[in-house]
Amino acid sequence: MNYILPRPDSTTLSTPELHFLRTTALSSTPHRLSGRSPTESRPIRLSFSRSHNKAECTSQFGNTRASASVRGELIPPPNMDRPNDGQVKFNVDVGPMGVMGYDVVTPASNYNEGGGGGEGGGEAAYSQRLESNRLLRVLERTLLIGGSIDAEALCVQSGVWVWRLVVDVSLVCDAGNCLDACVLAVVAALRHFRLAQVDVMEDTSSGVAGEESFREMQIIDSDEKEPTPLPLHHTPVTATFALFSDKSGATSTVSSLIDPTDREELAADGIVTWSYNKYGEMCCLDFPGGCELSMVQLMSSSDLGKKRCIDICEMLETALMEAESKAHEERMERLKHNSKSLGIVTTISGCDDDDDAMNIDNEHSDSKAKDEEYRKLALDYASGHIAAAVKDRPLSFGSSKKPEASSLFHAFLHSVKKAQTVDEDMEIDALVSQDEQTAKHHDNVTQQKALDDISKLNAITQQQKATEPKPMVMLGEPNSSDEEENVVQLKSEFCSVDNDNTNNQSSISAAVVADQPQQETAAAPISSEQKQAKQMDAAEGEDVDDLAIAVKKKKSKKSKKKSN
Amino acid sequence: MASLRRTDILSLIHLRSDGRRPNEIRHMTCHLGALPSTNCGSALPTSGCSGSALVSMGLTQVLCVVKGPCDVGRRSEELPDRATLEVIVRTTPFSPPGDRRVANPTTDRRLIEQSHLLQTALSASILLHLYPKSKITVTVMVLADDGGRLEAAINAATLALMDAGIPLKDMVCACSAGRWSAGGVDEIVVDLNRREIQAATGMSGGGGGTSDTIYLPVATMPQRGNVVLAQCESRLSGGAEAFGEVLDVAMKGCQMVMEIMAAAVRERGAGVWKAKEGKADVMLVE
Repeated sequence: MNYILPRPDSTTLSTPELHFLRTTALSSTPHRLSGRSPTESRPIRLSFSRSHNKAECTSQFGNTRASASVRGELIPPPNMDRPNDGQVKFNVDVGPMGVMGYDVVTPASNYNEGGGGGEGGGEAAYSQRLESNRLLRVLERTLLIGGSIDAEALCVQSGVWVWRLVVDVSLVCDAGNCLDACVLAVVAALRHFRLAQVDVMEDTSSGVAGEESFREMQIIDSDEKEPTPLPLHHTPVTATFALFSDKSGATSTVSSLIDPTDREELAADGIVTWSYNKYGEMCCLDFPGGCELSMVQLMSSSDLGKKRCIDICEMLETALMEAESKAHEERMERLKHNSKSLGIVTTISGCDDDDDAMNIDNEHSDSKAKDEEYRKLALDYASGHIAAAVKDRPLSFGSSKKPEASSLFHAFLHSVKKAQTVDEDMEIDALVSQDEQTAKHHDNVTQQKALDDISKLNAITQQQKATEPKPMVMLGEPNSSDEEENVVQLKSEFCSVDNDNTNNQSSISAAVVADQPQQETAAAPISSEQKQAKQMDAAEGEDVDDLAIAVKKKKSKKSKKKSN
Repeated sequence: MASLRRTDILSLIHLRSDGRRPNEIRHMTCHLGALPSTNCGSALPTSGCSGSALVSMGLTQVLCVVKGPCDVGRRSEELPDRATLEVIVRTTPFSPPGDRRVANPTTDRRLIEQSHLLQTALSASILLHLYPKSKITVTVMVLADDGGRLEAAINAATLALMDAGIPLKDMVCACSAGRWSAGGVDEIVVDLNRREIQAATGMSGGGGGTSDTIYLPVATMPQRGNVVLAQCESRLSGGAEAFGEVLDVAMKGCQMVMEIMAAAVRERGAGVWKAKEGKADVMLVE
């Protein structure tokens, strides 16, 4: 090996990033990299599935994804001092899939049979162990010690058979705040899980007189007898804050950002996690320090955490109800099938999930569309400000080119106008206070970004049809479109913090638009339109809610001008 | 059960199971420099110790040894702008709950958690940026555990760091507080021992803690009035106000602890000064 490898872990942060994150977090109006406010969290998405004796849930907080699955086993009571207690075993797996640089290790578990793991080697393994350990401990404390799962309710036959629930948690992707994602996934999976009925066989063995007779138990399939939900006392969820304190000690302000991303977590001084249930009862506090907090600050973060947890609980309830009805429908389907086909079992073990073999194409494109929608909602950093109008325009892959071309063209015009207006604004308002400017920029950038997203999406669909080298060729095109493109890029360097995305998208959209035959005429109308558009834009302000309407407006105005 | 009857009697006169009043902390002794501190000039991280402290809170006894700041063994662990703080918490085979198994500190999840908590709590106080590219190792050995293992460890670590002469922003003191309803009356108590902890968290397995019982270990910097660590896992129906009261009591407990620790530090300082002047009362081991 004669080259130097960068540290293969994700625990390093470059100095400019660190500096930026800290200064913006500690400024008087705290900003975040993604444009969220300090009390705003990313949108959550849950997806469930259930089959016999098993339930799964995947929770998504933006890019962070965690997946939990619950299954049940019948075992003799593990602790003979407590013959009525069942067991809940958590296995937390944080592997290379979740975080770059982690190794494949046996999952951390709260009941380890056999020896513990071997020596950890190096920095990455240590932080990995810490991470999985922290997840495990918080899960344990919130659910077991906090008293939401009652171990005694898992008893089937006292002293002979008890249920053991095995909860496997795996971190699919870590983009910050994996604790909340994991806890939510576990809680949702536990709520969604249905405990199968158990059948006691006839006692055929001849036991010693006076002893508890050992009977065979058989778990009845969920399709035969309706399984029962788990007896959970309450449903706790967590809210995590990243804390930034002023290291120089000049002020004692502590900034707390809810739902931190991974960059924010690395730059943060400390983390505090509150856990509440939907009644506003506090279930757990985990403040592992790193940053000093006065009592007042701690209590105020608890109020924020409470609000957030209650919101999450409501959302969880609705999601669970949907999932329940869906699972119920599926079960009815299965029963119908079973009664139709003469006793041929259609259920493949472990594959009773959402994707039925018959509906796989529809389901697939459906879920893809849903994925895209969520992705734009969560990762489009303007989610709080603009309603993405994707729903109005159905994503049709492979529709005719022409209508898309004109709408794309207009989208490009629109974005370019926005770019021009923002540029001029920047020059004029150079001396205006920071906040005003950044707010405006955020809005404009976000609008432009929304447009870029949509144009990028359409661009991608077109590129799927078109040949590959097109984008490369188009970038060397006549200056007019390039100038616009350059203008867009420059502006984004200054005020948009999401460099790569914007650049990519504007280049792609420029490339695709340049493909159109209307390219030459694009140059002239653009400059004349801009001035008119600027006034219009100023008038419209920022309430361009529906993109389609806006685009249509522009179209009608353009056609008017052409007729003039 | 005999102990149940005894506690019933004690609770009648408003005393706890070990005869304390609700707002009394356990008898606490601190001994700085329990182990001879050797010169840590050598680069080997395995030699000697810079400071040590032996702290006992009631029946819980914890020994802490600090080494450093010294050279980091592995370049990959070096931090360019501050010192690396490594904390290891170990139990001993003879410490209760005496099942004679030593939990491996690298795999036992409670020990990993406590080591990490200790590390973050101390890193809020140590001026790490004064020692870039070096390492400070804090090893805590739990000699006897009667509840409050984490708090005693934090207190011992602070004292050992002071004994080693490592600059701190403030002393980190830890104390726990709890609350339960005894006979219909809500009682907030300070510095719980193991039996009280089990009663508060219902650690005995089936059926979690009944609502409104809290066990809250807290570490604070008393002179600055800031909380550095707090952990709570009980379900509270009162919400934040009940929690706020318990936190308040815990912080007062930390204040009491700090006074005892500060007295111990002054005593040690006086002893060292006297030895320097040649008027030592007690023979200091070389």
